[in-house]
Amino acid sequence: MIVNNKKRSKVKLYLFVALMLSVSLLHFVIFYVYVNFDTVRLTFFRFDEIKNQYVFNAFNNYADAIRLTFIEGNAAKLNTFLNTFRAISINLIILPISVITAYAFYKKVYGEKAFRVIFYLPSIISIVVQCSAFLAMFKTYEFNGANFYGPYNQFFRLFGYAPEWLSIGSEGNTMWPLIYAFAIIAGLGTNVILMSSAMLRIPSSITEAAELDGCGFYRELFTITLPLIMPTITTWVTMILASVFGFFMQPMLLTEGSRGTDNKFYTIPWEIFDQVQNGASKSTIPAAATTGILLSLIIMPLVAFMRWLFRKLTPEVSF
Amino acid sequence: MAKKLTALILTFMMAFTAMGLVACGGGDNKSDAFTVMFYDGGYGHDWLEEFVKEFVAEKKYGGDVSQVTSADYKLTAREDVAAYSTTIMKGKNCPDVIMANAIKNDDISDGLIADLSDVYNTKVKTSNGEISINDYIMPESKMIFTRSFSFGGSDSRQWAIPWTAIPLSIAYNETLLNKIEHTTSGNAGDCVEDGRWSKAPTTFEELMTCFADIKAQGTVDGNKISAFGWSGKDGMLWFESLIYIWWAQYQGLDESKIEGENAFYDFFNLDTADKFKQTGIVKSLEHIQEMITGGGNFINSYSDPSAITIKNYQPAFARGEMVFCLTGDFFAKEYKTILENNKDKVNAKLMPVPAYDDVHNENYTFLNTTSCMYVPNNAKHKDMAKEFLAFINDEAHLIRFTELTGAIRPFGANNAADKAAMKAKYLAAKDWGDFEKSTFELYFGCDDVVLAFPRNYETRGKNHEPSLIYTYKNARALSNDYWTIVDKMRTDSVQNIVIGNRDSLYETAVTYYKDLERNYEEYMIKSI
Repeated sequence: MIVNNKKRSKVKLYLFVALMLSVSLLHFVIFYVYVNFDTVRLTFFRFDEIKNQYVFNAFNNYADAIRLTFIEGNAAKLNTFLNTFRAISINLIILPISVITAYAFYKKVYGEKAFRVIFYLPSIISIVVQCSAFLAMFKTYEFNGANFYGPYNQFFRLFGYAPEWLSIGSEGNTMWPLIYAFAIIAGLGTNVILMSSAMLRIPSSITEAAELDGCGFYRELFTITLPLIMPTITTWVTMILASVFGFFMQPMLLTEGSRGTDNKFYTIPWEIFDQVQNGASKSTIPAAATTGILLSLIIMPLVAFMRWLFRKLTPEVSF
Repeated sequence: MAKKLTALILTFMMAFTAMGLVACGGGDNKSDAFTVMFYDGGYGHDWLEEFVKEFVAEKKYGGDVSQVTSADYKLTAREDVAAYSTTIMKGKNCPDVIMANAIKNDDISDGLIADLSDVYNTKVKTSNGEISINDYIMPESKMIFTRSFSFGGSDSRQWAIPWTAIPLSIAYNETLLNKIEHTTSGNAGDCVEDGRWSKAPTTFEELMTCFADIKAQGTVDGNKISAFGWSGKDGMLWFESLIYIWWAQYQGLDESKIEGENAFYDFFNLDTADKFKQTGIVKSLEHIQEMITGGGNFINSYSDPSAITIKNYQPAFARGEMVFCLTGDFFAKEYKTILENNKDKVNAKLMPVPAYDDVHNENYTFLNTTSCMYVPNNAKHKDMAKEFLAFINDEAHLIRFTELTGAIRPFGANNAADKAAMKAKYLAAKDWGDFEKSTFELYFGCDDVVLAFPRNYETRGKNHEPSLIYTYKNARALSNDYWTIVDKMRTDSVQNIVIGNRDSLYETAVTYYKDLERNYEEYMIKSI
């Protein structure tokens, strides 16, 4: 009787585990295995309009993409490629800011709780709303022949700096700084939480001992806290390399959908979005897949190298 | 206890996830409502709601509209309906009618869209008796929606019905224009009376003189004014009316005026990138260059065009801050409130595009003709949907549409006599404002229409396929990179931009159409 009960509960347990896993597995098979397999498959095909089907195209999609971007040096293509990697530089700016901010919270500076909420706010507001609000701060409004300026626009005018902030023209040089500023503000909240979580894990005995030894605010940050959160930073570096795959919303929304002269603001993910979304047709899908895979091929070794480098540079930490 | 509770919560979560996955497929449309998904543009959708209610009343309640309730029909506005049409039509909640600003060839080839040939054969009531839609519709509009099932096929059918054909041109503020003094030395033709501009420029040269006068004057009644509103952040659509009309006037619309070159409409039978070498392209863009650039900057323009969209300059035009702007027939309806609030300083009218010059001066109107209604094959009330598309095309509904929107549908005006008769009926329908009257004049008063479409395809004699390439790739004179071209016009020659340099339109087209030329060759071999 006892054996039977044990068997039954084991079956129930397995059933439970199987049911729980089935949803995740199904999700994995459909949205990861199938999607990725199909993406790679499409890179070797082109759409034949006469046959109304995809036909094998060997490596021609790759050859075309490489030729246009790197060999023929098409200005627009090259700009698109280079702009994509700006996502990394944006994140590299975010890193020190988020570490210092998280450290300030960790050390419970005055008003820390209020700051936490304020810093996290952009992460829970729709990016479209944020962009509209951000644009309004720099806009010039013309009304009945008179100009009205957004608050930041007005502020800079006090110092005699009065560019057309939102110009997409070839000579306009304020749009990229605005994209950077916006991306930093919008991206800070999540990164601060990530760093805060890592810092909160540091045993208080370590920091207390450091304080007793006379360790100051910034010395503790650089000699105690930073080395102890290095594993988190290593993971974060991997994440920022992957951020190039999703870098399109900020430039697309802030330029109001304009790619700029010679694709001055265009990025590869934005291009892929256009190829599969706006005016997409079956013939543009293989090009989008090829671009995506090529980008992965460039990023993957970089990720591996950075992980290797950081592991070499930083000590193994466990506490 | 805690373990059991956790297991229970997890089970619920799993169940909800599973339900969520099921929901991804979309539930069956249990409602019996007649459904229309539509693109809500500048014309509004009052007309659509009225027509749907009337149609449903006729089908269900013997024509008594008062009995129609919200359970009988459903209208869903969706701005991105054209982009998501495939997903929408594959879903289980597929609407009965889709009204969009374009139709996708892939959707046709995939069998998602119903063949409307029978709708085109339906007869509709007109004041001249019953006429089939086939004969009633503007031939050019019919051609646009006549396509083979797949590329190069010989089985052309009709897939959609146009719900409008939008005349695009330059709007001008007559009140402001009449206050502009002619002080510069340019030719103003007979547009000036008592030293002031009394009517809109009719040639490009006169337009440039007017721009110079506006610039010289700078203000009207103490308010700063600009000459011309356009934006750099929107697509080339808004400049198309000017570019295509000047190009057609210079090149020849159906018959080429230039020895050794094809006509304007041949461009869209784009079998080779060499068509980008048509002289008319360079000539028309040189006019644009002269209009908006000078000394390496943008001139004559409202605000900084590189920083604004159409949604910035059109309201400003309605407030009387500029004399001219690029727009279409929807303008008066879309900005009705602003126009009413500023009626003492704004009397807007749509003018014909000023002629290229005194020699190339045919009276053409540019029409944007891609807006259409179609029926998904997956529609629950497919036959009813087809009936609806026929129902809205009789004369009474055409006039009612115009009454509600100020726009004209491309039906019933295929010869001079019909044009005059329809114009009279539209004019009599309502006490129209000057803007709508000017729109009617543009529509009915022109000698011919210019479309971004291969109207002369029949001369090719190939299987009634409107274009071997155009309909599948949407060849555009400025490709999709309109802003780069306009921006480069400030510092580079149009000749260079179109043909000369490595990134020119021609060189880009060579790459872009490489595959298409291969397809075209295969098609030619197949058709022989």
